[in-house]
Amino acid sequence: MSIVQALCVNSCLVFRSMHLIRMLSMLMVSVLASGCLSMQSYVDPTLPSAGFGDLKPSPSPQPLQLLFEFQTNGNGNATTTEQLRPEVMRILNESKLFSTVTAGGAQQSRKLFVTMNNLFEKDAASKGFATGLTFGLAGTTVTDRYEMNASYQVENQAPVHKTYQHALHSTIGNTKGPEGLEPMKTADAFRKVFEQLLLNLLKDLSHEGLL
Amino acid sequence: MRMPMALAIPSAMFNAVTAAALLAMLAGCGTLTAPNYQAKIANTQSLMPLSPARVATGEFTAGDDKAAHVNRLALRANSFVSPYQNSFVEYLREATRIELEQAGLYDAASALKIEGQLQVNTLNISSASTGTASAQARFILKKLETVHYDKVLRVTHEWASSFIGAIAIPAGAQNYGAMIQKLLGALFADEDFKKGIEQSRL
Repeated sequence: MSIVQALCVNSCLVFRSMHLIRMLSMLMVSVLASGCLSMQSYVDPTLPSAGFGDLKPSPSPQPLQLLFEFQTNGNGNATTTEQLRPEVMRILNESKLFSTVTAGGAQQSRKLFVTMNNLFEKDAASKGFATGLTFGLAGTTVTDRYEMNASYQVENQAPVHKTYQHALHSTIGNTKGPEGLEPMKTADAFRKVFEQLLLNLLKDLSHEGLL
Repeated sequence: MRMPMALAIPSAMFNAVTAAALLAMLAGCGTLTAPNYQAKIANTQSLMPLSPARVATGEFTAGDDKAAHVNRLALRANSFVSPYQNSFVEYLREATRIELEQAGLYDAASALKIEGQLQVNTLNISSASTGTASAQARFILKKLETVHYDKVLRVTHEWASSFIGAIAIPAGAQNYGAMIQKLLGALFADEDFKKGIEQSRL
């Protein structure tokens, strides 16, 4: 499928749900990915790498209540919050630092509040517009920054606050990526950014003997 | 790969790619359903110190027969409807319940109830640069016939929008929920509301 066909997605499509918009957007992304415009993403190297093997096991894992929120430029993003929460649960469970992890209203004496904020360049759309007009000849690089604020609270103890930052660089069209960084599919790069933020938090909490 | 692919498109890249394709979504013409409400952590943290109070949600109305008015929202040419019985009054009631539940305060059988009247409810993404939403609601905290709090609260919310519908429309849909989070945040952070909860337990 060429970009011309992508352009022909009719403006009078009936958008019955956000899913349809997302689907159409993803279709467009797929078209671009396989057609005229190439896309690559690069994980920023600043945040130290952390894996499950870097976590210090807890001497007596306790139940944990997770409260998670995803924001876009500081505003609540309900769809992404709902979709990412199971992924946060998976990482917390795989860490084996807690006996059980629950989300929502089930009250536990240990709570982990996690707010992840996606901050993006306001001119990303206009950059992309120029790239599209030139069919990718005028390539562009955009950066998504992520700031994760976490608060770990144990009943009758002072809460512990942590903040981590990460970034994802993406190139569209004819442009070089950041020097020395491995190009990845956007989905893989995002998953790595997301996981690294959480694993850095867990690594710090576990090594500080807080879990 | 367990993470849904749709999530893996970060916003800046999503915006750039969307614009790059020149997708002509400026004039959509259908119906969009708002995302399910999600509790805001700041609101949860405002409510948690009020434990062990238990609160239910009572009657929520549009007040003054404005149901049709507060339920008539649009994102460009698309109707924007509530996922809860097609009613934004019901959206506000459900949002209140979800916030109370996440904070561990919700009990459907409690005699202490929050009632609400959604009086103003707007959403506007016609601007090429800024989206706006606003709401005004009267909240009443009542235990049996005793009123412990009765106040009208109003919030406005703005966010960066775009002339490209494919960017502006999803952002508008997400930011409606953010605006309601802000409205409930104003309620839960109100010292008079906190005092009302305390008084109700005496």
